[in-house]
Amino acid sequence: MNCEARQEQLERVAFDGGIAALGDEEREHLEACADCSSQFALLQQLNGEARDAQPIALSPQLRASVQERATRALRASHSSQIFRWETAAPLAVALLAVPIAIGQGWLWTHGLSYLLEPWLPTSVLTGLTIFYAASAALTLGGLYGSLPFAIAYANRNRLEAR
Amino acid sequence: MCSDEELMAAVANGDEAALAALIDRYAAGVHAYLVRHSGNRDDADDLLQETWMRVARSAKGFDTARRFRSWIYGIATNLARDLFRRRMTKQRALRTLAMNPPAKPGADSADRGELRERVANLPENMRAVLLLRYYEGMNEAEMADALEIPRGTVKSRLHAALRELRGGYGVSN
Repeated sequence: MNCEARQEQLERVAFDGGIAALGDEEREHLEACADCSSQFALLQQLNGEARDAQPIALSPQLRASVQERATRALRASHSSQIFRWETAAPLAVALLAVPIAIGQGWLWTHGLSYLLEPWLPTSVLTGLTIFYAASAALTLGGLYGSLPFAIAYANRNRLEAR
Repeated sequence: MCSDEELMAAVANGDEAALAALIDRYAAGVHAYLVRHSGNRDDADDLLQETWMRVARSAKGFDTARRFRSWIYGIATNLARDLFRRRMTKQRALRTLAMNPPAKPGADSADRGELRERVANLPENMRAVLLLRYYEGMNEAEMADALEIPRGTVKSRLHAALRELRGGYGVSN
């Protein structure tokens, strides 16, 4: 058995019972091998350090706070109510805003096309229209795409803060 | 007395008393682990609360074939790791701004023993393995479950951690 394998074994031995758990063969090896002996001393010190470590007290306030917040989180995870008026109202407004946004987009593109037609070639106007429509669509898409996440976040915060 | 896993099954059904019983069993131990892992009691307090909130939120998805103890220590370790990474990023940004020399992690704890100091200064993944092994008394299988890594990786990390500790450390025979 090489020293690396021996040290792995020593780690288990030291963890399970310290020096008392050493067999004769292991003792002999430790006496002969400075590297393994040093490793075993470290393992024993680690065990001693862990055993004698000062207990870290959990204050009653922290214990109570943990329980309170965890209980809230548990209640929140069991709540089946997804839609409430706080979230339904912005959703309704957002839904109504779609035709307004589309109407406004249509008005802008047609209005500007009408005004700029005499000065700009059709290809430039088409390009401008596509650019405007694409950026407006991306903005609106991003906005509406983020709504479910915002609602979920608001719901979780509300339920956990209860 | 109910096992941890039975209590967790009850928590999954919304049983608040079962959650309280688990908190009674594990809050102090997980807190001590987080204090040692993060090296800061205030951080550990926050992490403990976050850990239990995650337990409560994820109760429905808990696999009762898994051991609860490994699972909760795994959650705590992941949260402590996230905090450690955020802290490192912040420190790097501050160092870049102020051109300060890098501060050694845990250097503020002058009263710690040398060994504790060296454990605190280990890389995060090695420190987690060492703390779970020696302070929490976990075996390789439990550590592998908690850290969600293969047993071979647990062994190699433990070996590397011990090698790191020995480097420059004056062990008296």
